[in-house]
Amino acid sequence: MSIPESIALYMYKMALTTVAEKRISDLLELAEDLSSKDGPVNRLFISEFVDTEGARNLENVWFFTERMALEAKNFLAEDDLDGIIFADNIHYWHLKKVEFHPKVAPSPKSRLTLTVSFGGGGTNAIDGELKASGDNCPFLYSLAREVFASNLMP
Amino acid sequence: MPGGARPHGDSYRAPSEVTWEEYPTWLRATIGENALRHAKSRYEVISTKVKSDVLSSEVWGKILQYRAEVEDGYTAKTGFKLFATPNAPEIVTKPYDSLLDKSFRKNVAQNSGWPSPPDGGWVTPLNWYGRVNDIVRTTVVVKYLDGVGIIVDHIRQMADSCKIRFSVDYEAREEGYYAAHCYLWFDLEIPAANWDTERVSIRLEIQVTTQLQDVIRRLTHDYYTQRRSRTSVADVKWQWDYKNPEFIPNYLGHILHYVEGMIMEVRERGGRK
Repeated sequence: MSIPESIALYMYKMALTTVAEKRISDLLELAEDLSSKDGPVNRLFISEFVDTEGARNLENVWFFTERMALEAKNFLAEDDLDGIIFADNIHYWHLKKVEFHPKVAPSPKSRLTLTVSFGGGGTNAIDGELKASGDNCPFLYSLAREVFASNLMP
Repeated sequence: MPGGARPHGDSYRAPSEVTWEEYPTWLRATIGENALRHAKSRYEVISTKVKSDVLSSEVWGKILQYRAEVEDGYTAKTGFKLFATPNAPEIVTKPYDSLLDKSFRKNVAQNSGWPSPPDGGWVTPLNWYGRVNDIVRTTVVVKYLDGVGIIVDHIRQMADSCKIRFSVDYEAREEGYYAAHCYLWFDLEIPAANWDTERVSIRLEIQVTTQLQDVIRRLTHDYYTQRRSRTSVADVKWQWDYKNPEFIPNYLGHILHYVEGMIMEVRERGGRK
């Protein structure tokens, strides 16, 4: 399958290995199949963090269609995918940032963590956590603005 | 004495009677005053050049370039991280005193044929660039025992792709030392003793070990340094002398190796390869 240009560009900027690219490509195909009624995946985000030893750890990958968000957890090693409607369905969000300003280029020390709660879980909250470091921070920030903050439940 | 003058005239002395302090005198008598006088400065120039040549080599570049691929491939297969640290391994040169000490061990302390030369002849400043296997070396530390073999295979593949000679020794020593030593052969041009040039096959040693073994190795480094140049044999083996300073660290090395095997077993029973 062909990967949309914006997604390919994002993956290129993330300097992924061929192993990670292949995993994402396989999961993207699965996500598109599962969300086919909602149109193609038009956005992708790789949740990652830098550990205390300075190593970047790729954690989860998020796929977004017009109205759905799908998360593949521990994507390098597992096939573990779930999905939820995010359109007008964000109950709560919380952004935590360190050494990052939206209008300034990020530094290697920049960190962002976005926590979101989706509606529809009944008494059980359905939460998601997205993390970014360094050059990945602007991508998470724009995701926070354009996908999550703008889709709060009315 | 074949291969050089006898250090102390014709009277035989056992290796245990030849001291480290006397060794430079012996070496001087064997290779000549001039060669030893310039040995240190020549070594410093050459080892720096060797390090620079290795750092800029295609094979070293590939080893570093594909490091992340190997890491992600391992994580994809096992769910665990491969490397103990994200930092690229640093190539270091062997200090001159350490090289001299190694030549002492090869020529005297561990030379079973003393006072004849060891196999291949005396190790001297004239030939030690090709004879000593760790003039340039580095260490790669992995988290788990199975990572050692993964890295060895990676280095072997990179060497093959660059047509560089490769060999590996899986070290398992009585003293509780466990590591894989990979060797890459570089055919390099170095300044000769007469300041002309000569081509020598010089090895890069890449030690591949686990995080736990790396910790114990750092703790026991001083014991190892003392032991390796010892020429006498103790009356009671360290294994029977529980007050011997080597007793605990050496057995810790063995125990940790066993524990690491058990960790792998537990990991694999948990469904992870």
